[in-house]
Amino acid sequence: MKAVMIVYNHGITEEVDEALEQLSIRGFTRWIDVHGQGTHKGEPHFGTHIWPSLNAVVLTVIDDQKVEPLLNTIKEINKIAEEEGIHAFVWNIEQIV
Amino acid sequence: MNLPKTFVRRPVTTVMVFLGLFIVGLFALVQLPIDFFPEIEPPIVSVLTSYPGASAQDVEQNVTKIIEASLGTVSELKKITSTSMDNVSVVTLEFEWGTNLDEASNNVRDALEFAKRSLPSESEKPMIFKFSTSWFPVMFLSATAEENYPGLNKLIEQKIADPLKRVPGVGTVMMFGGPIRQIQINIDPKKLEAYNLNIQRIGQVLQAENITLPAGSIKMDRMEYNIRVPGEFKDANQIENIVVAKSPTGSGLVYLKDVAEIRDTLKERTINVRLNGGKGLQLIVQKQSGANTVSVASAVKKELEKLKKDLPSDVTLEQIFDGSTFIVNSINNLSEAIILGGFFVSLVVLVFLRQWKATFIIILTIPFSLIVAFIFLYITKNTINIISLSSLSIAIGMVVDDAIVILENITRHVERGARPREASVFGATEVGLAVTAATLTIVAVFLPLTFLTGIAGIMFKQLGYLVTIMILTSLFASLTLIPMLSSRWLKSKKEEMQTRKRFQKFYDKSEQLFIKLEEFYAKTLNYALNHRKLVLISGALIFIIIVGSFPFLGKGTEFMPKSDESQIQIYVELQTGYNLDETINTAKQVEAIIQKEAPEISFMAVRAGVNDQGFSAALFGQKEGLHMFNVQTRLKRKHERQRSVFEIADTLRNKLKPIPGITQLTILTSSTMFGSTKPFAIDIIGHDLAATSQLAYQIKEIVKNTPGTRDVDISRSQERAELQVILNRDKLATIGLNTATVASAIRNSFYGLTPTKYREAGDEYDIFIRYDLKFRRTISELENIPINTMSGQIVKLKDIAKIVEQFSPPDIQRKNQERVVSVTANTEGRSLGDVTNDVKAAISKLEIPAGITLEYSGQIEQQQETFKDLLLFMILGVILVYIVMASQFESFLDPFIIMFSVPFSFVGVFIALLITGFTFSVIAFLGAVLLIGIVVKNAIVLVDYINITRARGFELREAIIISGKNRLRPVLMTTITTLLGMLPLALSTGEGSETWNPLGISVIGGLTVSTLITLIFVPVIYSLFRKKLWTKQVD
Repeated sequence: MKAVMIVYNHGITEEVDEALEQLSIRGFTRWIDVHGQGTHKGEPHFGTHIWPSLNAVVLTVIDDQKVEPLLNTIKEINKIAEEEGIHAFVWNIEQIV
Repeated sequence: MNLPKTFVRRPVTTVMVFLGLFIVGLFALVQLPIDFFPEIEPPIVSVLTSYPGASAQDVEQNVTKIIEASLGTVSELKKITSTSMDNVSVVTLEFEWGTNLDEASNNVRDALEFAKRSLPSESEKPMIFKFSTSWFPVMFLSATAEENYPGLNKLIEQKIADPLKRVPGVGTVMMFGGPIRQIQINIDPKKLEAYNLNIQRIGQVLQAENITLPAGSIKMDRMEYNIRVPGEFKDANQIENIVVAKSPTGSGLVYLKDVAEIRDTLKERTINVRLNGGKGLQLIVQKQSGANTVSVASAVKKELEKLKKDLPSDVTLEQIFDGSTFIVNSINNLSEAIILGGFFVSLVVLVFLRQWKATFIIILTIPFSLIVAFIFLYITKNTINIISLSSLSIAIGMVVDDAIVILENITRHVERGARPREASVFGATEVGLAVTAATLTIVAVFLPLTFLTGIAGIMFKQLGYLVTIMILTSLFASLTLIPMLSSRWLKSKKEEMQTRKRFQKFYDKSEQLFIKLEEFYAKTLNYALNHRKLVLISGALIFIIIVGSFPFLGKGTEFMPKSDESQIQIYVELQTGYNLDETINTAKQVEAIIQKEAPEISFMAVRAGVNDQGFSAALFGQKEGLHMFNVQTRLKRKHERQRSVFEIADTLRNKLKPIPGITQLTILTSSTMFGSTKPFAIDIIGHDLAATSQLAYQIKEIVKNTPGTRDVDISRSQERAELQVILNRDKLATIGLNTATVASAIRNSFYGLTPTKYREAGDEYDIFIRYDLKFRRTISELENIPINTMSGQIVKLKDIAKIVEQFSPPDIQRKNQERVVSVTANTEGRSLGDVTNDVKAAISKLEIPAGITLEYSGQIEQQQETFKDLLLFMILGVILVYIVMASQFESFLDPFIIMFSVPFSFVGVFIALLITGFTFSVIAFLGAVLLIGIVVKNAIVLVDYINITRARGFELREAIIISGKNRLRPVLMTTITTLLGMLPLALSTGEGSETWNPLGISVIGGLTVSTLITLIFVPVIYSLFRKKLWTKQVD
């Protein structure tokens, strides 16, 4: 099992939801209205007057074989909406209760 | 609540909300009545007291003074004026605007109760009149006839006037100048004397003979007969054969025809009406208080069409004046201006966006925002009038502003790859707060308009409420309808790439132009930032030169712009003492000149003399007399003639002035809306009648010689000659006479006596006895009036009285309990403010006697009051806008920088007025005030973005140029929409357009100049202040 954390701009919520649905990923946790800023480029997302946009985070724990397709879809999304911003982080899950 | 989110998720609800709004609005629109101005009820109450037999001075001393003193303390009273004439006192109370008149008239009634005890016992009970706009006639009609002329009065009364009174909303129908049948008995006093008769005796005989009496009944067998004595005259000819006495020689009878000439004729008139040069009568239709002029007029017209069919063919009925025509035409013109404005706005949006769907989404805010105005008007029981429609015209370019900003942000997200559904929510939410703040600055300027008091309050309250409501509605629509429609109709980046190709070429080409414009602006800005001193100095110079030179170059100040209402009223006063025949002769000359000099006049009605019904003119503050007449004319419609009504009036003035006998000529081109005051008036206050009159004549000369004045007049009438019969009471007593008998003998001979009435076919006609005209022409005839003493002897008037010629003022005006004479004038070609200044300068050289003070009243008084109100309101607007901006920017400095664009809007107003030649009127002033809110909006957009860019880490100068380039399009777009929205308002030339032209012109001028200045000047000032602040912080 792997944990995939997708951080993305609110503007592309639908794309992310569709990606999860496509791969029949049912379980996830979402944080909305979170702040963040990319390491190299892109606009900060602070929800302020200066930087009005906001991010959301989806954390999903999925089978190892689903990770690759998910990351591919996210890459696709990033191609179309690069300026909006989307990132995915993957790590291992030790145990699930 | 997150509005965009809620509404985007519920598209059906959104559609229903706005559809509901639209339907309710349409319903309101259809139901709303039409009027020219918002309802204005002048806060005026008049108290009329008659004191029969008293001269003007007696009335002033014994009635007017007492009533004034007791009413002086009534609450909310603003001004108290009075006119004392022979027999009548009129006290007029002017309250503050907005006073509850019912309450006020109750207070007046209470105060009068106290005053009554001190009034002379012969005076009648004071009557209270509430002044009402319903007194202004809705319609003037005229009737002329050939064969049927003698019976015209009865005919029109039965066939037209009575049925019209039953039309809903019609208050009264009055008739003037129609012929009235009368049996005249013209006595020859010589013959009367020969038979030892007098007029009273003849009156008694006629009364005794013209009688039909039921005299009981008689029973004979089975029958009962009524007994009647049918003595009533059956034929007018019968009257001359009435026996009035036995011949003194005892040999025969004296018939009435022996001592008098009997004529079955028309009553000698004190009023004469001529229509288009022919004889006729005039009908005036007044509405009930609260009824709507337009609907009453149309109901009356409909009814007239039906009634006309019953008239004989030689009788023609014409409308001289229809109060609703001007209103309806003005409203139609203004509605056209709004529709045209809406079209221009749509065009601008399309040019800037070059996308059908986006344009359509934005334009949809216009109908929804505007229709809410009608709902408000309907709920508050207002009307569609030029003020409410002007509000629509002002708002039409501004309601799209919020939508433009929101849609722009949504599109930006979509272009970055977000789906329209999500982008709509986030795009709208992100800028929602900024848009709200910008809208609030507009509200901060318009809402205080509703606090205005006085006449300005009545006029502009509606504007304040309506624009506020429309702008708030547009904000609501921008946060709900716009995101919802964008989420449905905008195409995602993916779809767009496939379909856009068709227009791609055009789009790219036009985009190039916009980019070039932005580059040009960036270069200019760069130059300005390098030459900050030059920019500042030239800015200051422009401001000083324009504002400083305006008082010299401009057309001056004015209360309301004059409008061409296609009507001219001419009031002519001849030498006092002229009789009606002489007056009519002059009137005919005037008619001929008007027909020759002013072919544009399509209808003309002349009314000469005094109205029988008495004092109505006094209540209106007008003068009436046998030596006066007025001409009412209707002109062809504005676009059907070459000359303006003002030019025609001026021509007539020059042509009519040389007519001999005319002492006073007044030509009016407008139906005086706000009281009957002329634009210019000086009040000369002082007790001494002779001294004030003399000063009044001096000032009249000054005013006359001041360029730009017309129709200069003095309110106090010329002293009038009268013959006073001074009785010798000792002599009276010895022969057993008293003043009453002598006075009535004189009255019967010279004024006349109506002892009885002649009946024919159910109608009654007066039988009127008096001396024949040829015996009423000299003082000696008066002296020789025979008077019967108790013992049956006859004495001549000259034996018991002497007749002296005296002069007395026919009326005395008072203002705030002091005697006053007003010198009044119309203005033409020059502004009221300029004329007043010139007159002031000339008067300051005069020596004013002690105890006399001068006051400037008339429209200059209203103008100064209103200008003061607007100035206060402007300060309030500036403060409120500052408050909104300071909280938005969380800064004291930024709003201050932004405020620099305000003075330049005034520069623009002045330039626009100079170019177009309009005066600085209340309307133009209003435009200047509204500009505060409109112009800071541009600066807000710019400064806000500079702040953002700076905070995003750009260096000051770079931030300014980037922001300038970035915000140029939104600034230009919102500005041009507002400009073009108001362009039709500024350029329209139809009926009534003069009233609102200055509003459009001043806003367009102010906005253009201030936008150009904002784009250069504000960034320069920003860099200056911020740099200083920065270097300070660094230190």
